[in-house]
Amino acid sequence: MSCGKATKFRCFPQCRAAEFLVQSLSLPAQSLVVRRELVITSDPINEAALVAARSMSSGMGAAAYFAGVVRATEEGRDIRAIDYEAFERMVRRQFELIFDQVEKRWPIESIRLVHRIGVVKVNEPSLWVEVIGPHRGEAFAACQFLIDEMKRTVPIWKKPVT
Amino acid sequence: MQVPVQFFSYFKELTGCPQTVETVGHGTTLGEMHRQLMSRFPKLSAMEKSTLLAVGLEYQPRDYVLREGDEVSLFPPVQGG
Repeated sequence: MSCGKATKFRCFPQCRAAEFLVQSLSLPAQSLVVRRELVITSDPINEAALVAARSMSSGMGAAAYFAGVVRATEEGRDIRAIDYEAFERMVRRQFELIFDQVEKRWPIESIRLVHRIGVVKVNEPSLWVEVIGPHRGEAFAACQFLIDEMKRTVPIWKKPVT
Repeated sequence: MQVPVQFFSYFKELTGCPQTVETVGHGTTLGEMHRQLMSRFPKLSAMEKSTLLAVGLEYQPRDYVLREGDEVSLFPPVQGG
C-alpha cells in the first residue's frame, strides 16, 4: 500500500460567503457549506500548525479538537510504535460518508481530520480531529460521533511494533 | 467471470498474498464468493463472522450479486485512531 504524500481536498474557501448568504436568506444552519479537510499522511502531525491555521466565523463559539496518541502498551504488551495500514481510496470515501452524516445532524461550520499511516511512535499523535460549531454541545457531539464512526467503518488497521 | 480480490491487514498473512483473482459464475453473491475464498484459503474461516466485505469503495451485504468489473476487498474489523 502506497502511503503517498499528504493530500488535501474539498476545502471550501467560499464558506464565509455561503454563510453570509444563508444568514441573509434566514435559511437553517444545515444549509451552510461545511468546510472539510481530510489529510491521510505518513508525515508527523503538527498540532500547533493545525491550531494556528484554524479559521472560524464570528457566529461560531466552539472549536472541539481531539488528538489520539499512541500508547506504550497494546493488549498488555509494551510497544515502541504502531504501524498503521490503510485502504486509502476507501478511507477517503468512508470519511466522506461520515462527514455527510455529521453535516446533516449538527449545524457545524468546519471539519478537519488528519490520520497518520505508516509507523507512528509512542507518544505521537496518530489522529487529529477538529469540529467547529456554534456551541460546545454540537461540536463535542459531532466530534465524538465522527471518531466512533471512523472506528466502525474506516478501513485502517494497526500493527504493534515491539 | 473473474473478480479481482484484495486482502488487507493480517488477512494477507492468512492467505499468503495481498491480492488474487477468483473465478465465479454469473449471479454469484458476495457471500458465496466469500465461502469459495474460505475453501481456497482455509485460514480465513476462523474470521468468517467478523470479516468485512467491500465492493469497490463501499461495504456490501452478503446477498450483493457480483457484476463484471467489480473489485472485492476482504479485511478484518477496522482499527483507526
